[in-house]
Amino acid sequence: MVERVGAARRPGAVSLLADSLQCEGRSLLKSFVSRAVLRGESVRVLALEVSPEEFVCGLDEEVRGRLQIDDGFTDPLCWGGGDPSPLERFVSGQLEGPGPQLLVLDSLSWLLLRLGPVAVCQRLRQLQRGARHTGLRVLGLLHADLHPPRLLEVVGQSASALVTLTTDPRPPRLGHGCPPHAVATTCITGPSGRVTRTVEYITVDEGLHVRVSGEGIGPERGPQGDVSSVDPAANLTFNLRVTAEERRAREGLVLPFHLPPARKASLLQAAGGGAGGGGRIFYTPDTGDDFDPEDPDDDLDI
Amino acid sequence: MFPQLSHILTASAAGRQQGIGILLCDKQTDGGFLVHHFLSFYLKGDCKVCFLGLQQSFNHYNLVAQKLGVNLSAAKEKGQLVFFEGLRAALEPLLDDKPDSTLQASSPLQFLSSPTASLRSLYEFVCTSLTETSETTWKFPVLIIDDLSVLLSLGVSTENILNFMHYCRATLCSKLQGNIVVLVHDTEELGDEENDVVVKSLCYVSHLILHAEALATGHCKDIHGQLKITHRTLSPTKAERNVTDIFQYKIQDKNVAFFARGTSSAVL
Repeated sequence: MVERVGAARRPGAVSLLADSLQCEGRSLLKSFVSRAVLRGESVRVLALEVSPEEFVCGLDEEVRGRLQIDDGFTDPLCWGGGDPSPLERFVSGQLEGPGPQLLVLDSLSWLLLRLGPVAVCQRLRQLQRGARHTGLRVLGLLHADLHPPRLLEVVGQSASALVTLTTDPRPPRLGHGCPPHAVATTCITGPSGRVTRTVEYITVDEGLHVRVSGEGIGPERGPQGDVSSVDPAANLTFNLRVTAEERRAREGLVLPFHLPPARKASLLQAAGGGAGGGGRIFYTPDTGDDFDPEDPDDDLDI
Repeated sequence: MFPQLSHILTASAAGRQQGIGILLCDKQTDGGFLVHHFLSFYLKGDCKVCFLGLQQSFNHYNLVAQKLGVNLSAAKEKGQLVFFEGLRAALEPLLDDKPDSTLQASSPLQFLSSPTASLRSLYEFVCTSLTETSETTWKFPVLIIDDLSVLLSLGVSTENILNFMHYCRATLCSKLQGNIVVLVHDTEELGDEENDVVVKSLCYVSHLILHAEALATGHCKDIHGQLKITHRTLSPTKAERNVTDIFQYKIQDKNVAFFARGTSSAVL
């Protein structure tokens, strides 16, 4: 599902990659850029947070030659004078122009901290509206822990696809090779408004190849019914559950000091001298015994 | 410099040593000893250093540097060190009665007169200090700032601080292949949102993060704090996780001893 985000062709689609300090997302962004260029798309990168040299580092020569990069890193605010910076051209709408099919923003967080959420969301909406004629798509990198959750929600609603990268909560398992780099939670909003959400383990290998490993760990519930993805009964040394066979055996077990009705009836029957014999007491009174059936203890003063 | 810390940083660093950003954070403790380490480290390494001392006076840094075997006055005289004493320079624009004077316009701290102004003048001072040609050839330029949280306290906006750091990175790290060392205070649990944004933004663009914090269990005579060293690999060809090492330290008179957790000489 995460690879569908990078291969999306719908005009006006705004795709966001949300990463964090513990789980970087620039490698995934560069992977998407590389694939788009190799598919023959016209890609334009607005490099704000890192220099263009640092962005193209690791990309193939063929991709570098066909990639268009605007240097918004060296002098974004025109402190050195000269032509309007790519930042100003992005704000004024001169950057997308006729031509690029995919506009990459590295990073959207950089724009949010300088321009504010209102201006950035308005700009994204303008790009989406203009995409009917230009066919432009937008792909942006967002640092989730730089912004408050409400802001992330608002910006996420402007996007048609949001991939959130978090660290793998599972402990590393010996003998299973390198653990996946991140857990990618992908939310894609279709044209009809239907939201599809999946969770996958991904790794960006050498050469910027995205590898989806393992099965999706299922959709996550909302804040009211959060289900932890970690099963607390997963790695216990004892068994918390019983099978049907074990349950039957347990129910048929007779406890040593428990007197079930069947056993009680058999004991009483045996004591009453029924078939099968039982204990009997034979009493032969001595000559000195004054056995009075009406007063066996001889304590009545009659 | 502290030999043990130098050994730890050079032994575990997996990448380049030039063109990097180093972020020093302190939380509920004083991380100034890290600034003194890097100042003496780069001066002994024949680097050209521009030091923005906004927290303490020149004499303070000089006294500590002498204990570490470095003479800041001599370094200033031979042009290796450009020391900007913020405490002294801050008085000039504040005490100047004429608002249109050239003194205010040329001062690196002219933003004190109008807090909404950018830190462009300070950036130009840094550029001029580190790009001046001299007879002696130094290895690479280094900018050390102690500390950036002071600018927030002076009323500078988050945006202006981030823009200043961005331009310093663009010029020093990318263009001149120099290093930047910045000290900020971590106030994550104190609710200072602006400071948190500055700290986290700098974490994203730093290659090495040294986080000094007090012990969670309280004061200890033999262990003064804990240092978390995070190497952000930022590999260009694949996704990699950050590598974090944790050490405890004890500050002595002329040195700082670093050791693995639980291996303090008082414990063993």
